[in-house]
Amino acid sequence: MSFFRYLKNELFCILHNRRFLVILLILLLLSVFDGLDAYRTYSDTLAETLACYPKNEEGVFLEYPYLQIYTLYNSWLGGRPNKVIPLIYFYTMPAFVAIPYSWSHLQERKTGYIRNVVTKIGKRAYFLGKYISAFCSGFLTVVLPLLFSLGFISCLVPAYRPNVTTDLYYQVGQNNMYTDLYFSHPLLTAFLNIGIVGLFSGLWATVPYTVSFFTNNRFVAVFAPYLELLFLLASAERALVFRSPIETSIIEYIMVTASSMVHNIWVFVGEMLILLAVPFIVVLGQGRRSNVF
Amino acid sequence: MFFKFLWHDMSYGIFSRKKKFLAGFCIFFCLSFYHFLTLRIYEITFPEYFSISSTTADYFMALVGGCGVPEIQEGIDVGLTMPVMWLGFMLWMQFVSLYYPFTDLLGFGKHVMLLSGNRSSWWFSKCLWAVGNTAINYILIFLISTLCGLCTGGKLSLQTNWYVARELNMRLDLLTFEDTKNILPFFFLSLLVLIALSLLQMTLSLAISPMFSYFFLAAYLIAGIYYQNAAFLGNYAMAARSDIYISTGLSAGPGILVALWVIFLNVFLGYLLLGHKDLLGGGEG
Repeated sequence: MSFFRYLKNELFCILHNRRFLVILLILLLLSVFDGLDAYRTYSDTLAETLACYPKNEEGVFLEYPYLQIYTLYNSWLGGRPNKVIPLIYFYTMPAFVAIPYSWSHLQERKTGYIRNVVTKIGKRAYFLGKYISAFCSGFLTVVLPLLFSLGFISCLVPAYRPNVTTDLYYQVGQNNMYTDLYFSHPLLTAFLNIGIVGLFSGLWATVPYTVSFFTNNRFVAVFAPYLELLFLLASAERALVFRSPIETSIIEYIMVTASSMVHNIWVFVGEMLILLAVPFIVVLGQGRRSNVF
Repeated sequence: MFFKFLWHDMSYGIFSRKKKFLAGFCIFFCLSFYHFLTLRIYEITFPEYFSISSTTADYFMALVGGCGVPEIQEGIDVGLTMPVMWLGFMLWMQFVSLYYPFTDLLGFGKHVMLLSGNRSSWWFSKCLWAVGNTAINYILIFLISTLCGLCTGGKLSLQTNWYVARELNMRLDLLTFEDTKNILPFFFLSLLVLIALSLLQMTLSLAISPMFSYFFLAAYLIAGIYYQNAAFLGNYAMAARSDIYISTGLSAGPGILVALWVIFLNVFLGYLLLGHKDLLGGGEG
């Protein structure tokens, strides 16, 4: 069996995994509920505007109606500022991306399946294949519902270009790293954001896989990194309060909206590089050293 | 039979988990220490802080107090600061009672239930274990924050100072007290809510799976941060949302009733679910 055939097989397993499908279904349902709520807000505002703003005989508004306060770009899941479903989505993301696949290495070690595979493709290919598959699992789990949400909302809410004079409704402040792009190319920002969120979730999904080298408990492997992340976020937030205006929370960086702190792209790049390098090095190092037989 | 189950759960599910206690100690000692750092910066920003003597209760409140409700401007929710510290605390408390009942159910517990033919003793023993485990971990966190407070010069007291409200993003003009307030009523209310949530998690673990139950509980707690509503039990575990400390907060009385209702409902539902569970069918979590 070649490395690529093994990888193909693992990707097939991810897409046909019951846990992956259940998580995806839950997230799609969340996207639908959030979309319907966004549409209700938009349609209420539209009805109010049509009823209250003065119009001439031809139906043309006599005052500027500010219809763009609700647009596709602040109504889809990734762009809604301070709403409950996006908050749940982003703050539970490190937990749910790990559920479908990231602990499969632990399971294969317990059942002995790892020996069969390593005999055929070698240790290095096995561990690298697992790393890539964990990344793909995290990436797909998060990106598919976001793409669905963008498509679903685009059927319901018009894609008015966001106007900087009504920025309260978008919550993309001047300190945000997306600000310039958001007001000039909002659709591009949405796709860029989906890519960044997908990259984060893919990299995060490799963290529980890394932890699974050091524990035999699947719950520790899946949820301990999440708790550790919350601990780090809380630590950075409390230790730097009033000392530094720079945002340190990676979750606030991957969200287009909400953060009132100053975004520094190098802090974000640094955090992502750590997330890429540490699990990768640990997986290769542990993979080389571990005795699978 | 019941007492044998209980003795086993207490010894293997609580007292033999030394690593868990050690991890909890390290995490919450560090998190408590940040209150000391915050206080030093507040003293520079607001000189009146020099005259306040901080207490160990302040450290505990800063750790588990949560945050005030989000402000709404022109129909848009602004100013919601995610209380990551509180969320981490709540999820830690749920995590420590997540996997023991499940691993026991797949191993030793399954054999004992099959041999004895008694499922109810196993379930009620696990319920008491959940109560004991939550209480012990909660008291431990309280003691850790107290120790951290004493190490950094705090006064040993159960009275919290008004200034902590600023740290918890509460509106100072809505506080129900002027200088200090006792934390004991909140301490017991928060413990009761944590017990209710841990039993809810156990029942959900039986109905779906432990991993999904933890995910659902995390989502439920985050939803509670957004809505100040009695339906979201997490609100009662936040000092910043309690009428003990803030006039717009939720009343503690209904909170106790809701928590007790959740506890009894989950004990009963879990008993019914376990009675219909296929013990030999296994499960993958």
